[in-house]
Amino acid sequence: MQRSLSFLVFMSLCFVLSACASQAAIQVQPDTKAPNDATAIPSPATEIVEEPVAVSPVQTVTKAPTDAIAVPTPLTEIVEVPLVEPVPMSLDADGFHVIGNPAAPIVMTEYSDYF
Amino acid sequence: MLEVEPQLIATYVATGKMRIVVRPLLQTGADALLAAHAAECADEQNAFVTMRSALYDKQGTLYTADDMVSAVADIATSLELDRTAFTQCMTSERYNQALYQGYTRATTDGIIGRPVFELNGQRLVGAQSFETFQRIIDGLIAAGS
Repeated sequence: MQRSLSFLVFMSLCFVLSACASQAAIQVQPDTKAPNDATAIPSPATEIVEEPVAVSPVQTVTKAPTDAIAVPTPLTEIVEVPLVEPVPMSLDADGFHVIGNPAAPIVMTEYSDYF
Repeated sequence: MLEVEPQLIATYVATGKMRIVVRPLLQTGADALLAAHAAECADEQNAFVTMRSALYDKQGTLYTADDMVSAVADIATSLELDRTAFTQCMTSERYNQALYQGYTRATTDGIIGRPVFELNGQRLVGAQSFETFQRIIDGLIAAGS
């Protein structure tokens, strides 16, 4: 009876040791899957923990507003012409241009060139 | 006159209270003649006032342009005028004689500087502010002109 009990304890101990050895073998088994294989499940023993990348808060603050207000550079110069009201045009008896109603009570005569 | 004329047109001409008679001066020589001629050519396409505003606005660029005819043609194009017709008008020089006659007549009338304005016969010599014109014109309106 005692021998049977000793044998049982011995077998149990062997089983436990065998299980521990098997688990250790699984943990050190190299990952044979390609790193870029989408289906690869990383082994807990070889899992790589990425360290957080340090981000400079100064860089973030200074770049963001610049990107936010960036506008395309115009390729051609915009010619701005002052808008004037549409008014009637005519020639007076001497052949000079008249801007406006020829019967308007006030006459402004303008002598000028364009420079 | 660059800033003032559009204000005068909007305030007094468009409302029928005043008309502006444009008399040419050629005191700055060949460039002045070309600019005045450009306004005449624009008038053929119903753009006399618009071209005047553009010429005043771009006078600095025009004054230093190597090719004045090409420069005013560029302005005509920017105003969406027919560039070919405009250029043909410019090269014809068909308004030169009338412009010279207008200048001669202005000289005869005692206009020796520029710009000069007459408001119902009251002469103002030199560039004037809109407020100066406004005071005189409103006075004429109040007097029943």
